[in-house]
Amino acid sequence: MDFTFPEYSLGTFPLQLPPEEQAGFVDSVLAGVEENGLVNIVPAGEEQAFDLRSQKIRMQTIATRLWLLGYLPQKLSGRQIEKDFRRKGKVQQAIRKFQTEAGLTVDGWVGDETWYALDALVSFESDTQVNRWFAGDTPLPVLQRAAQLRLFSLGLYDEKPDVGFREFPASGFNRFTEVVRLLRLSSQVIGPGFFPNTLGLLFNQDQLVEALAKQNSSAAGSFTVHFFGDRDEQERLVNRFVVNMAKIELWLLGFDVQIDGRDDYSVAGMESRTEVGPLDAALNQYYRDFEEGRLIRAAGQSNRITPAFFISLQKTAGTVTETSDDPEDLSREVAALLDRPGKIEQAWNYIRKRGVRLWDGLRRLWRWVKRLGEKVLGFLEENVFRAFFRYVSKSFKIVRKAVECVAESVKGYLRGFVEAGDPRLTLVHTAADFDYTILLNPAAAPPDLQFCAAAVKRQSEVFQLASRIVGFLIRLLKRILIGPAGWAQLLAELARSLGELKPLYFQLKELTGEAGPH
Amino acid sequence: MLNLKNSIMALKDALKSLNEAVKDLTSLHVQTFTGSLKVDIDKSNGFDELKKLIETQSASGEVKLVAESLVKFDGDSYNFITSDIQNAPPQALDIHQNAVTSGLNNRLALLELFQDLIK
Repeated sequence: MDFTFPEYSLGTFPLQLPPEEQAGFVDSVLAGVEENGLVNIVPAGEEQAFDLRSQKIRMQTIATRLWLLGYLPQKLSGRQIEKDFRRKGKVQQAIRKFQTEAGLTVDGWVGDETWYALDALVSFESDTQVNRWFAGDTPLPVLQRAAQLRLFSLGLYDEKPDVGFREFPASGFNRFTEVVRLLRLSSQVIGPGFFPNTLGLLFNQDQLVEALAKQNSSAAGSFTVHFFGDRDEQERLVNRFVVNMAKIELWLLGFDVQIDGRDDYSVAGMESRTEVGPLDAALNQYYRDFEEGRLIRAAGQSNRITPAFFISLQKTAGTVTETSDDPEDLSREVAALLDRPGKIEQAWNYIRKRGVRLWDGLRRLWRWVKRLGEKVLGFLEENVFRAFFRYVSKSFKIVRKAVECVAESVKGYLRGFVEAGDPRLTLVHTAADFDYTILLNPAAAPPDLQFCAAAVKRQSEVFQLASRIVGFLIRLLKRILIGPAGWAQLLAELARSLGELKPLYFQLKELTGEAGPH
Repeated sequence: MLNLKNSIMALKDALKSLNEAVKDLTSLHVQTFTGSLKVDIDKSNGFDELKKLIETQSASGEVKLVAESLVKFDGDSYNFITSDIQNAPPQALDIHQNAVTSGLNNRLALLELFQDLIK
């Protein structure tokens, strides 16, 4: 069933009411966005984590990622997920098991910590931080499962982890190390097992693309393979790896292909096994749109995967430096593309039907825009939808956080004192109108006094920054709600505003010491 | 709904309570003392009680005023620094100045927020 925005009209901004009532209107708009699940909200507690209305999109992602890692016996449909979340069934058990195996707090619901852990272990574009998932020299079960999943995705292991998972053996890396050797994918020693070099390469999708791009044998337009044993078997292995690398990259770009580990397409210079299907269609479209047909001519044929495909990908990655590789810089462009309510509803329909796929691919979208310009946004519509959802969610998170900070600061000032260290040494009292009375004990040491000064400054800066963000939100709402307007306009404005809100948020985050990469 | 119950009217509640508690935004008063209180410090007593306590002990000489600033927004201001500043904690003036700046900026931020709602 298609998604339609609830209570389409937000009403008009109640300019005629006193300031507190207007503030109440702002609160109710924010609550409405959360309650209706229009953004990705990190739940504040277990109760919200299992709230079907506000958490639907996250639930799908969580359940899919847990299934991928083998914590759930099957991939659950949207309806099954809802049913299971309602009674806190298998998914909660799976969350607990994942948290236990990852060495996280075991509470049975997914907050920031568990969310980022799942992301790090499953996403192709996140930093896996492999060292984090060790207990001494022993890889944690979550890392073992993630390694098996990654190897399966690359076509180098027959199955993804399942609920019967016990331990992933070092021999499970054999095909990976063989492929690395055959294609000279690394100058380092890549041994079979949970070694830093091996894991570093396995979990670095960009590095694998770059390494494949370097294997171009210019004479034949095929991959340079250094056979050293049973040629047929090794050729099959390389074929399978290359095909699945292509599938992953096309999937990340939003093409309709499955990452299934299957060897079902031809690779240049190897035995033909072309099937007409999603991969064929995706490659054709890739060549047509992303390379404007040049690769079709250059490679001679598009019904096989050539090094040119990876060279094209690598060239795109190479146009963006690490420091500027920020997918959020596209918020204005993306918001401009989704400037009609109908388009935004289409985006939300797409988002509601996707799970894990929502969170990968933005980095690639950004790189392609840098290389080919905004026209890329026209043929990566699904990535545009994902980006839009992410931008809206981030902007919303910023304004929500700012409102909380204003409320907390006010509470602090009304409480009458600043937490400024040991009150027997440094005592700072405040009044609601921000008058201060400070008492410094002669016994206070310089660090006590410095801490006191910093605490006063910090509390004030949090209030000021948060107030600026809230002021921004109020002006935004007043601008769009001058007449009746809908949720779609609000979401578009939030996405468009991310660039302006982000610098303020980073300062606020630094002051409040909030953790988390997003 | 759910955990939103507490924060759903966060902005409204904050501004309402601030509006009710604010007595005077037309002037800022910051006092910095040195010394130690002769009673157990109980933060739950609230600002007024502790302020009174500090002022009482200041009158009896148990705590000493190091610096005082009264900034009036009609342009009139008053600043005092004790002549005995060398015996005050070395960062006392920095802390005092810090509090004056914070107080002024807080007022500005609050006024701007209300202005956004009123305009």
